[in-house]
Order: sequence, then C-alpha cells, then structure tokens
Amino acid sequence: MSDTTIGLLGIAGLLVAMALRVPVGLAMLVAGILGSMAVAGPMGIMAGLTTLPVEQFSNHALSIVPLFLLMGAFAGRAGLSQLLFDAARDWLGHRRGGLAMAAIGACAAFGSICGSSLATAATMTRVALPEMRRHGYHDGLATGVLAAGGTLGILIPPSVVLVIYAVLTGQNIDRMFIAALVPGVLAALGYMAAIRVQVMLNPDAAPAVPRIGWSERLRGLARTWPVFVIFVTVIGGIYAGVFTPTEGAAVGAAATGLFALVRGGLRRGAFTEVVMETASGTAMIFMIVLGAAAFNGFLALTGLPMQAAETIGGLDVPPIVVLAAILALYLALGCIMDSLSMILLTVPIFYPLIMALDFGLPPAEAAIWFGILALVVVEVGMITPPVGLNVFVINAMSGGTPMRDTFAGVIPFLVSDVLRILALVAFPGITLGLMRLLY
Amino acid sequence: MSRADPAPHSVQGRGEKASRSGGPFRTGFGPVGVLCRLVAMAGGLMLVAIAAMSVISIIGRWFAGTSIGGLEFGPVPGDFELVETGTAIAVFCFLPQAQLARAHVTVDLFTMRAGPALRRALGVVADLLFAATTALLAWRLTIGLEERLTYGETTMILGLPQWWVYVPGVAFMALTALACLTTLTATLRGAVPPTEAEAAAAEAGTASEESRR
Amino acid sequence: AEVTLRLHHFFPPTSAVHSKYFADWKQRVESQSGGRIEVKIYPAMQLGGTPPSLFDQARTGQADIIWTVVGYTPDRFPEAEVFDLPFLPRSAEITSQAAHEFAMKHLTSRFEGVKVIAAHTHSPGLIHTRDREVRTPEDMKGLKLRGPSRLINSFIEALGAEPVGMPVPQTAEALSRGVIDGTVLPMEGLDALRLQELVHRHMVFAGENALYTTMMLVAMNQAKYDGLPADLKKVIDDNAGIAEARAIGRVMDQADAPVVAAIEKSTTNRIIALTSAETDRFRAVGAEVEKAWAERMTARGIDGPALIEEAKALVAKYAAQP
Ligand code: NA
Ligand code: NA
Repeated sequence: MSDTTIGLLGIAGLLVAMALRVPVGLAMLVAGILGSMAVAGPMGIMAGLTTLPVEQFSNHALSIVPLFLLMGAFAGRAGLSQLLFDAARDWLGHRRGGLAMAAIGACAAFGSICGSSLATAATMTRVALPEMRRHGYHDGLATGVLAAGGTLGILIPPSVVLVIYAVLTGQNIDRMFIAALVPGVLAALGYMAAIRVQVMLNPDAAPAVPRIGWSERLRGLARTWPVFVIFVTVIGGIYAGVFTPTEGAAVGAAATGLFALVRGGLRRGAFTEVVMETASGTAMIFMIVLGAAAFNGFLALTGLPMQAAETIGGLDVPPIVVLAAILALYLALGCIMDSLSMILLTVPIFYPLIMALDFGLPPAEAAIWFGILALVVVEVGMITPPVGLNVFVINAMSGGTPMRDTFAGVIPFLVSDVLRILALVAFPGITLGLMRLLY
Repeated sequence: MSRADPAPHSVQGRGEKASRSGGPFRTGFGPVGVLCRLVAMAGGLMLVAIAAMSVISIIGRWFAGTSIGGLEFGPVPGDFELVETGTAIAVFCFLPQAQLARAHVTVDLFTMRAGPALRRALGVVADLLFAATTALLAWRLTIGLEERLTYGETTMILGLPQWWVYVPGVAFMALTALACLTTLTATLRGAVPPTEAEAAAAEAGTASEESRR
Repeated sequence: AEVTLRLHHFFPPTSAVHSKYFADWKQRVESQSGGRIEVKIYPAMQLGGTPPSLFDQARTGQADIIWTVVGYTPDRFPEAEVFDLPFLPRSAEITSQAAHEFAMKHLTSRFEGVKVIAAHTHSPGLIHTRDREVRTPEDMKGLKLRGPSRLINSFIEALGAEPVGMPVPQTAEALSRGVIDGTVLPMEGLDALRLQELVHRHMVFAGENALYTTMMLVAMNQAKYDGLPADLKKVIDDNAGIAEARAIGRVMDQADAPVVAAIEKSTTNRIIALTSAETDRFRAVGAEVEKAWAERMTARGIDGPALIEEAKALVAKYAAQP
C-alpha cells in the first residue's frame, strides 16, 4: 500500500471514529498513532510518544490559552456582563429592537476581555434574556441575537482560535489580534443592522423601552470602566511592547481575578467553579492539540499535504476560486464540527496551499488575511444547524423555547455573516488596514 | 459538534446542577472523583501562580536597572521557562477531571437522535479507547522520564531538571486512564453519556454566577 | 527506491543549509547509490516534535537523519558546550572542522545510537541591538537581550545586561514591541528571522576570534545505517565526516556575506567595529565565563581546562590549514 493510500485511509478512519462519538482529540491521536505505525513502523511513533505530551503542553505560545480561559472565567464572576448590558441598554434601549442591539454591544464589549464564544454567549444570556423577555421580545429573536452575539467572543480579540492559528502558522499573535479588530467591530455592526431589518419587517417582535436621561446614561457608561481598563491594559500593553501576548493574558487573568475578588464574585466555592471551568476548557483544547500533533505528523509522513498543495497549485483556476472553495468547505464542516478542531485539522493542509497562491498580497499579509477569514467562517459554524453550540447553550438556558425558533432567529445573523465574509474576501484592506497603519 | 471554544463546565456536586447535568458525569465518582477534583484545583492554583509570577516579572523588567531600598529590579529569571513548565503541569492536572466532566468535544451529527442504548454502547467504546490510549501515554511517559533521568537534561536558563515535569505527566496521565475506567463503569451501570446539546445545557447551568447573586 | 531516508530539521526551507547543502547532499547520495537510496527532506519540524527532540528522533528512528543544535538539550552533551565559550570561534568553515574532530574524540559515547554524518558549528554570532551603540561593558548595563545559550547568557549577565530567555519565534515580536532590546545571533540567523529591520546596531569585536558559536550535528539512526547493505553503507560513509562538516561551515559562512553587505550599504543599520582595546575589556569578562565553566565541568568529573585547551588548539590547527 502506498503512503498516499494509507494517508487517505487514515483520514477516512478519523472521520468514521468521530461520527461514532469518539472525542475529536482522541480520534486524531489514535488515527495519528496507528497511521504512523502503518507508514513507518511502530518504533518511531512509540519513541515519539515518550515526549509528545510534554512537548505539546509546554509550548510557550499555547500557554496563552489557559490564561485567557482563566481571564474569561474570572470576568464571568466579576459582574461585568451586567454592567455592560445595563450601560448599552441605557444608550440603545429606547429604539425599536434596542435591547437586542444592546445585547450585541455588550457581547462585543465582553468579547474584548473573554477569548471564548460559548462563555460570552452563556454569560450574556443570563443578563440579557430575562430583560428582553420582560419587555415582550419574541423568544426566537431574543435567543437568536444572543447566539450570534456570542460569536463576538471569538471574533473580537483576544481569541483562542486566533492564538491556535498563529501558533500553527508562525504568525505574530499581536498582529493577528490587531487584524481581527475591525472585522470584529464590523460583525457587531452587521448584527445590529440585521436586528434593524428584522424589527422593520416585524415590529411586534421587539418593543422599545423608555428613554433614559443623558446623565444616567453617562453614569452607567462610567460604571463599565473595569472592562475598558482591562481591555486597554491587555491589548494596549501587548501592542505597546510592555509585555508579550502570553504575558498580556497573565496580566488580564490577574486583573479580572482581582476585580472578581473585590466585587465578591469569588465567594462560596465560586473560585472552585472558575478553576473547574478553566480546567475543562484547557484540557479539551490541549487534548485536540495533542491529537492534531500526532495526526499532522502522520499526514506529513504520508506526504499528502504537499501533494494536495501541488495538485491544487497546478490546477488552472484563479486563486480566488481556490479560496472560495476552502471557505465553502469550512462553512459546510462548520455545520457539524467545532471551530478549533476544524482549524487544527485543516490549517496544516490549507495554509501551504494558500501561501502558494498569488492574491496580490505580500506573504505575511496573505497569511494574516487568510487567518481572519478562516476565523470568521469557522465561527459561523457555532450558530448553523444541525450542531450549533451557541444555539444549544442559549436554547437550554431559555427554558422552553423550541430549538427550531432559535435556529430561525439566527437566520438574519447568518445573512449578515455571509455578507461580511464576501466583503472581507473582496476587500483585504478591511482586515489589513489597521495593521498596516500600526506596524 | 462543536465546542468552538472553551466551554465553561459545571463540575461541582451541588444537587441542583447534578440533576440538570444528567447524573453522575458531573459530580461524585467517589474517591476517584475527589482525587481528580483535587488535582484539578492544584492545576488551577498553578495557573494563578503563573499569572502572578508573570505580573511580577513584567514589573521587574519594566523597572530593570533601577533599585529601591537596595532591592534590584529585574525580570524573574527564566520566567518563560517557568510559564512553559507550569502550563504543562497544569494541563496534566486538568486531564483527569476533564474526563469525568465529559469536557472533550464529540461530533454528534449521526448520533443526536440515537436512543440511550446506542449512545451507551458508543460511550463504552469511546471510554475503552480513551483508557487504553491514556494508559499507553502514561507508559510511554515513564520511558520519557527514565531517559530524562539518564541524560540529565536541564532547562536553558534556570538549569531545572527536565525530568521534573514528567513526574506529574506520568501520574496524572495514569489518573486520566483511571478516570476513563470510572466513567466506563458508570456507563455500564446505566448512565447515558450526554450529547453535545445536553452537555451545553449543563454548562449553561453554571456558566455564570453573577445573575444568581 | 530500495531505501528511503527521512531527513528532519527545524530550519525553514529557505535556509542556506537546507537549500544549498542538504539539496546537494541528497543529490550526491541518490546518484552515488544509483537511485537505490531516496532522501526525503522535511524542514521546519514537519514530522512533528520540537527542535530539542530531534536528537532523540534520530536515536530512536522516528527520523532517519536529523540536523540539530547540540545545546538544545542542555547538560546532556556537556563536553560539546566548550564550543559555546565566548571568543572561541573563527569562521564556521574552520570551527566546524575543529568541532567535528572534537566530537569524534569526546562525544562518541554520548552520541550512542546515532551515526554522526557531521558535527559542525554555525557561523560566528554577534550582539545586535535595536539602537544602542555598545562599545564598553558599561554600555551593556540594563540592556534586555535574548541569549542563544547558557554560556552567552552568563556572559551578557556578567556585563550588566539582562538575559531574557525566550523561544526563537517570539524574538521578532518581542523586539518590535520593545520587550527586549536586542538579540545574539549570527548574521544569517538574523536574516532568516528578518530581524535586521528591528535591530540596527551590530557589534563586531576586534581580532580573529568572534563572540560565539555552538555545536550542531547531522546524525543518522544507527540501526538504519547498520541495516544497509555494504555498498550503500559505503555511499553514506563517502558522504559523512570532516569534509561534510567543512562544507556545511562554508555554506553558513557564505550565507552571512550578503547580509553583511546589505547592512554595510544600509542607511538605517550600522556595524559597530570595536577597537582591540575596547574588545579586551569584553574578553576579560569572557575569560571569567570560561573559568567558571571549567570549574563547573571539573565538579562534574570532566576535565574542563583540558577540553578548553584542546578546542582552542583544534581551532588554531584548522585555521592554519589552507
Ligand atoms: Na474575544
Ligand atoms: Na454548526
């Protein structure tokens, strides 16, 4: 059997194992181990396993991941989401659909200190869903808004998925974060526009709430200072060179931890919950990282990624078609897979391919541009049926909203996502502009 | 499937959560469960220590070259190494508990509507595979430990022995295998592994404390 | 092909040794074996693992041949550290031959499990700073520098600078953000990481011996070699040894040249050439580092002073050869 055949069998085996509910990281690890044995005998991989877990877990660039998770978990206990939502409601609530827009704005702000989509969705739902219901918002709209808003947790830096992409491709994490900023803000604005269109079509779905006076608005805004301080310290500190991204995450974790402590958010076993939350998220991610390392080592042995890059590079199609095909594949995969697994599985194959094509951009910029595009499309998977984790979380928390209604509520935001993806593909300057300005 | 990212998970054994999160996967598990949670807490403290050390190091580096009351400012020597090694130890600490909490991502597409019997059967297979793989890794890590002891390799800056990190590596990889056998036993006794949707629902139950206060 | 040899290393495919030396080595081995050996080169850690694991990859057969920095596993090959000492090296071509002869004499037992294709060193490294002009040890005070090895770290620390330990891929980011003020690398390494846009002063000491280098190794899995038929073993033997060490050294020296030329022409970058009087003060600090190393080796039961003596003599010997 040729190495190529073994490689294809390995991929097929991986997909079958995943379909049979073998955890993704484990499936990649087992497929990687068995595949490497098939190509190169058991000696090599068995020797590799004596160090592989330690190597993967002690990767300095990945140390940022548990620290960002810890930061997000502390932020959830610090009462910041309530402050953010209250402030946004005071400013936007009196418009039709204003509470929904306020939820989006608060999600964006919370996303600026939380690196995870699910945590953002869950945290904001607790705060915003009861309020929207109290004012007569339709459940489908309310839950759809929060599911989509949750994706801002990843789209707005800091972002765990971006960290993984940067580590896989050797890009600077700080540049990736800067590049993600404008597309992230665009996402928030796009979602607000989607709400606007929805309430124009169906005014009953989202009644207005009473207008709030300016002095009260300003006071509410002032109360959100910790979020601004933490975001400016972490992202600003990384950009200004006070510390590296990993150190920035450490600073963010320490600051949110202190704040949660001062605000009384760590009482009565809450610290234990912070740790358990961080533990689950960290172990889940590093298990996939470990599995991907084994599986990608196996793929490299078979030579498949290089062959794929050569084959597609040899095709006589414009680069943009290749890019479109990849993005479409991500959207399709996103219906059933999570973003992190997708990035870890596919970037080692797609990245060399993209870098071999000419998009009229310098290689460093193409790498960042593709990273942001990949981030945006894989994150759409969080809200697409049949498996959309954000939708699951919010639907479960809403108690009684039919899943169908929540998925229906998400549709306008999916439309907004697709339009934004088209814009980001057509105009790389949206993604790269701020970075060019700052570096 | 899906956890696009770190999902907050409920773990603690409070009644209301346990009932919401589908029984024994989130709490209990007897002495093994207690041990796994203790080890996870140790990992959490390790992370907090890493964060604190980094902050001290940044302050020291920022004021490098100055001194106050005879105290010379400077970065913590080998801070990068400490972060790397500390993170590795923390991850090893988290693995056993993550298995008990069913934190690992699965693809549900083809099994979402499967009955409990099928899901339990698949759960048994996955747990067996997980137990075997983590046992294999624990065994291979003992070889890694032996080799580090033989060759006496150290870290670049601090000269810390490389074998240190292998000790929690071996111990907690073995504990992870034990945790897999524990969930396996629970499944054999009738527990049904949660779907991603159920896991997400349980997570949501504890995702945020603030609104409860 | 009858035999496939997977050659694994951590440098990018654009690096000089990958594109000039290994491409040539592959071609030689394949044609001399009449096509019975195929060499597949995997740069940039494509087969997985981290650079420090490369030696063990060759020893255990995960890769058939590897190229690595011996010092990536500190304290495992203590004798090799003599080539890290400040002010030891001459050009890579000269020092590589010295390193090879030294390794074949003192490191064979530590290299058990692999067949050495070549031990060598990289081209001489120097201190690069963002903007500070360093001419005296006082100028080093408070500088945050990424050091390449423990010995160079203790050298810059003895000079009053702060050695910062940081993974190589992070240096660009750390330099551009001012987390560190400089780095210590050979010119070619600077170019490979595109750092010359971030560090603008390059410190060159007077005299024939440059600041530092380190030992590197191309090695093959012993069992794989032993399993080859005699005529293929001969092909490997014909393409291993001190001549290979010299060839790699030459490639590395040559890779420095265009970088130096570009810096000399550049308006933003400047080479700071120290006088011999200025250099002497740095050499005095280097001598202390050397002494401390010898003592540390002696404490381990290794004759440090003799190793230093021998390494210096070997460098002098190959410097004298044409
Ligand atoms: Na974020
Ligand atoms: Na989906």
